[in-house]
Amino acid sequence: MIGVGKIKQYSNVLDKPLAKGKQEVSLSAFAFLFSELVQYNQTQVDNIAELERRLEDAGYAVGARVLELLCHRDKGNRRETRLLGILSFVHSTVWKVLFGKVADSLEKGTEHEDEYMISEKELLVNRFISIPKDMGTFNCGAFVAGIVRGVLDSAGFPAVVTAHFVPMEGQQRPRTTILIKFAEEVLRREARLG
Amino acid sequence: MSLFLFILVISRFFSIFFLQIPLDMAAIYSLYIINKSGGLIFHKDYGSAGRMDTNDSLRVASLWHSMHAISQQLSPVVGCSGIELLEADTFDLHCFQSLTGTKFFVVSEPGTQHMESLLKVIYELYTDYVLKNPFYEIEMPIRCELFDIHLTQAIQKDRVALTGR
Repeated sequence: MIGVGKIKQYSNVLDKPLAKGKQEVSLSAFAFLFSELVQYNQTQVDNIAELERRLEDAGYAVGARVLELLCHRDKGNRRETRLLGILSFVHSTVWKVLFGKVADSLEKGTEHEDEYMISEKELLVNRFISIPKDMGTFNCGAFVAGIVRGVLDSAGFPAVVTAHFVPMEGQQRPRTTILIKFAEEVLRREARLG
Repeated sequence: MSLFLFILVISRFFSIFFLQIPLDMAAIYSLYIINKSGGLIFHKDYGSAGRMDTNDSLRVASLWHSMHAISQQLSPVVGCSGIELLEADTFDLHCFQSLTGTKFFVVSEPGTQHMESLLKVIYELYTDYVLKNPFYEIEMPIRCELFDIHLTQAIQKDRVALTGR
């Protein structure tokens, strides 16, 4: 028959080419899966700090893999060596692939040299989540903070990444800020590179 | 014949709770959400008159749950899914039951249009902001900020569309 291509069967799954595949997944499916992830972790821990750490660890694993995939697909195996380079990579490419849009803003911290902030009006993972009052400042965006930490760590820019709610005047819902604090060695290397 | 009388008696009974002279012409008087075992999980009053305290609203909810179940049995039509509309002198009660048995009912001004579609919108908000919330326990009272915010917006939009203001 005309037009029927032959699909080459690969004996080893590692030999298969990294196809682009379907770009989009149902938001509801992801929301339910993420909700279950949070609920499962809630049963395993005693306090909120531990829950936040677990979500971050889950995100870390995602971040490391996303970096590998994106370096192969989008960047042609080129490595980022400069701080601003890796930050704009996270801010645009990673966000585009994961959430379908670039992050709202990338800012440098005014108080400390080693702090940078990625802000978003509302994180995709938080879209359907209302934090109960008794959980205080807990933010499920810790998962996204973990993803960012995973990407930065695997790229050679160790950092401490946290997610915060920042209340905005005139808005009912607070903005979310991912705060990235780079390690000493990163700043020293950056200074050396000029 | 007896079914007719039954419905009449029930609407009189409900009138005792909902009898009110609308002062601000709100199209919707109140919204209730009942879980599948008949417990009230959400209640919001919009009218300015005829407000009940918590105990009364709990009673009304379980009353309606039983009524709904009884009507399914009483119906002369096979495969009836329960009461969808109750019309009385001073109010209308529109009820929507999801496939899982959760009931959404709204008490409104007599003759208000488009309540069914409003109930469907509220059901969608429920599935989005309540069921996808990891901190919500199924069948428990709803305490989700996002649900409240979006519900208010939906009711507001509906009110503007209905009354033109």
